[in-house]
Amino acid sequence: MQTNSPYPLAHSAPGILDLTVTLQATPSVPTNLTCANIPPLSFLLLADRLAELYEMVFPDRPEWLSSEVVDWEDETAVAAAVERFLGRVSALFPVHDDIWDVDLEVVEWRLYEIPVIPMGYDIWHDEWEDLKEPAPYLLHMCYSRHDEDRSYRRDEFEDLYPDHLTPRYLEPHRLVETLRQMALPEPLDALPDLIEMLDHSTGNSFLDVGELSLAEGGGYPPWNREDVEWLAEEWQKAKPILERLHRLLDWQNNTPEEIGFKLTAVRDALQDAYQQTLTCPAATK
Amino acid sequence: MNQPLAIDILVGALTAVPEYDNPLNPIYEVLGRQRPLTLQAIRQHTQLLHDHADQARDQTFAVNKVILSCKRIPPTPLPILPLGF
Repeated sequence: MQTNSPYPLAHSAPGILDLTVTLQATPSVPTNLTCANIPPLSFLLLADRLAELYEMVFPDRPEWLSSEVVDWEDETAVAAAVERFLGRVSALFPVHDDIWDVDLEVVEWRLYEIPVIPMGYDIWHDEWEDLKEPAPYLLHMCYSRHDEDRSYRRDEFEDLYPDHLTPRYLEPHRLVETLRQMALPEPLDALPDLIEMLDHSTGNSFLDVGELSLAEGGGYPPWNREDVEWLAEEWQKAKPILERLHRLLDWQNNTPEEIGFKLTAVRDALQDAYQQTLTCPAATK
Repeated sequence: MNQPLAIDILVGALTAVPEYDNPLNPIYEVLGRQRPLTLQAIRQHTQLLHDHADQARDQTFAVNKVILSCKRIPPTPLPILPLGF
């Protein structure tokens, strides 16, 4: 059988496939090629994007750009650099700064969408019994009451909280302003904030949106200067409210007796506010 | 009858391709001189990086196009291998 190729190697296409060069004992390397120790192009492009974000988010910290050395040998090193950036963003507002899936596409995604962490309740996804009181108490008060139009439905609220019942038409979200005017003592002063958070009506995006509702509602915002500044401002407003709120949620929360005491205090505050709105309807929000 | 002709045309076309440099060479040349290579250094050459990355992408796209075109060429018996080997 003939083994000679009709296209001898000596006439290979220059620049495309030159087997004669490839087969040489000492390959000829163009002298101008200095790619040794430089990360691959995909890493360089990601580094450029990371640098762009540093400039946008931290214009006053140029030293962070000059101190981040791009000697990345693998995707883990790339992810670590992005985590360092996100860790610095966390000082402005909460973001997911851990990258569990060290895949270049996943890492890159963090540089195109702000992985912000909203603090609001996902009331239709969260298990209410997993929440700290008085959040479940307020949710059941709003959504688990006996419905006159559907009389066959049990009043779940009555079943769950027989010792802390409230008037049927007491609607917590209508009492927010009255509760604020009552100047409740700490930590009950967070009650109107909690009611608004459960009602998604605080007006603050960190408090009104939960992680799942953010994902369902279009996902994370893209990185741009306006959104970064806005998120930082929103977080400054949300932080004291959340601190106040956690004081209420953690207060009297260790034993059933303590929780009963807390619910009594909450119920009494709500009833006082409700009575005030009955005598002075203008106080209703 | 036309099959050997297709190979001839392909080889002719590939042989006619002019020599070219790796489009990433200018990036390597500039960034290779930076020690250490920092985000700041990369940012200073962002235009160069993107221009030549685009060229590399265009080239990859063109090569892929050739590969796809070649895949459409019907199998041709080679002098050294029987058809269907």
